[in-house]
Amino acid sequence: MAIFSPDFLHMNSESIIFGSPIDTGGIAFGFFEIDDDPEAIIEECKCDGQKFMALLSALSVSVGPEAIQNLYRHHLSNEVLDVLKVFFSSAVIDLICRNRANPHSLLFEFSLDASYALAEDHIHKLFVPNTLDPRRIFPQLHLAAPHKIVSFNPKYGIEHAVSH
Amino acid sequence: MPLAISREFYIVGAFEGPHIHYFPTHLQPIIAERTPLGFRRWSYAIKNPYEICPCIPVGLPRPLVGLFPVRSFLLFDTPIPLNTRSQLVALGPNEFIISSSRLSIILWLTRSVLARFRDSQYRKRAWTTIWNSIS
Repeated sequence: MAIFSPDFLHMNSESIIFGSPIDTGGIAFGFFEIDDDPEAIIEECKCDGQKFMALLSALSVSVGPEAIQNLYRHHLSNEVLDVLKVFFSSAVIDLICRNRANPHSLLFEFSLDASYALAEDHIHKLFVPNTLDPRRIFPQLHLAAPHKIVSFNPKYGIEHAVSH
Repeated sequence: MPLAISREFYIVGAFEGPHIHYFPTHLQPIIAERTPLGFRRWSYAIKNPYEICPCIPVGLPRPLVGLFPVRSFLLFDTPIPLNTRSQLVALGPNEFIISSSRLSIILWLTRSVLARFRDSQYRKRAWTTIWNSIS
């Protein structure tokens, strides 16, 4: 798992195939209790790159730091909800609100085509289990910026490492 | 967690497939509740000192084979009852230790090192995993 700089998306916005505020894979695989056709609601959740970037910009401008931290933990706040309402249909908003306790309901995702470019500057941190040798898997990053590679005990999981 | 009291939880698989060989290593278990309608996956938190705390159910009960259609996850043939201190250690792509006893994990890891005594990288990762299991 890696934490990227916002520049990564700004530089590659043309490569975004779709973005979504909900884990669309989770909808497809039955992590949500929904009455409608899953494929139909997935299409409602998806937006193009331009709209997805506009959503991120609106969140960065309109939402306070506490609400952003909650968003990282998949907790919905009213500030975030107000922004989402501008961009998505009532069916999507309803799905998010009915599944507040489900972390998949507020899990922003995006898909890129092969034209994206990744530079060392785009990576803030890369989390690697301490049983995996980063010199073998990420030799370039290890040479250029070893301080960006954070080793963690996999027994406690990645979320433990990220939150510390 | 009051929601999780009196429920029957199992470790039904691991969240990471063996795409990269870095065994032995701990993997994150997939936790599911057994219900009359099938298995229902739960999200959970891991506390320090080590303890698995189921938090909320995710989705509806399903047959075990349909619980995770994603191929990158591993599902075990036989679900293992969850002890909140259970650790899941993969010795290889198809070889796992699930135990709440740190001594038992250390003994199994030591045995696996003896069986692969020529593999210095495995030996090194085994010591790291022993340290991880008691940390």
